Amino acid sequence: MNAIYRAALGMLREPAAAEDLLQETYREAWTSFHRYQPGTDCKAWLFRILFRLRSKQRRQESRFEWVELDEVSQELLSSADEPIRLLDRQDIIKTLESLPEHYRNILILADAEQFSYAEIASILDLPKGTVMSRLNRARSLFRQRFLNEGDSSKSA
Amino acid sequence: MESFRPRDCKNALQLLDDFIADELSVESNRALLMHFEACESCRREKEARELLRGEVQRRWQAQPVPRGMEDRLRQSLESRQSPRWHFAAGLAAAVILGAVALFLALPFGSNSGVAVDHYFHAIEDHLRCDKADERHALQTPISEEHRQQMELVLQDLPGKFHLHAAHLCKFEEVRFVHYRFKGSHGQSLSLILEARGQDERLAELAKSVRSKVEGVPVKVITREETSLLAFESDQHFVYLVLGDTDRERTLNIARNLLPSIKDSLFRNL
Repeated sequence: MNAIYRAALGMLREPAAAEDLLQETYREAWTSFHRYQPGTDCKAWLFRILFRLRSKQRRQESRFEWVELDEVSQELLSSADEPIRLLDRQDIIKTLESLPEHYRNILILADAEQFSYAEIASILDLPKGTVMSRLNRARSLFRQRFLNEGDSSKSA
Repeated sequence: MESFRPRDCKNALQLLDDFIADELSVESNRALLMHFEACESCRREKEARELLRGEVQRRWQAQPVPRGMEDRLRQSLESRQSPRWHFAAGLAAAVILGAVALFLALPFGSNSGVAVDHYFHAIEDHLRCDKADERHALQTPISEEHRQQMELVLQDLPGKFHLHAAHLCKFEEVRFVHYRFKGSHGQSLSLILEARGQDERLAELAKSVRSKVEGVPVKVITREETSLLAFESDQHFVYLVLGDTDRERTLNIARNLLPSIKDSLFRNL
């Protein structure tokens, strides 16, 4: 339950809205148990419901727009010392929250909740290849921002 | 398929996140490990990314959830019972009606914060149990003495019943013994027994326990075409499930059965 709430919060960034989405997810789960396949991972199944509901919400709310980054640096960051040094003072959650929602979501699934790529593909209803490429961009962007924020806080 | 040459840092770094996420083939993993042996720079990058990923997970999962969220969720899923209670109800209902669909259609809820997980286990176990029941009546060997005791219990029922099936079900490491009886006119009755855990009380499993039969507090619920009654003894929970939704008739049957169940059956479980 907490994992679903955190993921909802990651999407919406508003605790009350996240809790509403959590409740909606569970209600949906109760009423669609017949679709659940025994033996499969029920946590992944709940996440799938959560993301489907969120996707529906987004379609209904025109204020939410998908923002594809024009360019995410694919440059491989050679940053071996930096993260270790920055971890103590850097707010990882803030950096995560600064990412566009579709990057943030996939990063949360892969690195915070540690779902496999195949599970993420199933949760987000995407081909595995798309998951891998989006995740690659999300991780690069995250590291980039993490290091940049570290630099700006250093110079501030 | 990942292509990778051990000496190629660019390729190594491109595959690094997938390596950390354990998503590479055995061959690529091996090639990367060999590369890390030889390349300090990539090894340090790997350690840094592993650390960062670990911190993302740790800090993400350490985020607090709002106080009372679990209670509010529970309230929003109101009018339901605990998973285990529900397991017993659904299990027996499905057997009685011969339809898993009914079990799935029953409204659910829980007094537990991890209700959904519990529920899935119950469903899973139930499906196995139900299939087993159809294929192998009386699949769980029970002793002659035990069988005779069950027959004695049945003598207290109006109408003629016989023991049709008995099997074991497991849910959360808790073992349920499930007996299914059939009446001469096609009536069905299920008796589900469960050893009580330490400090467990029926009141914790079911929201309200208001009725009393023979001085024993019982919980009765009726849904669809099924009625379920539960009570507890010193060591067991007992669930009686009938294909009858008349509360008074259910209580009457319980009134008939309860003394002999208590007197004879529990001693041998």
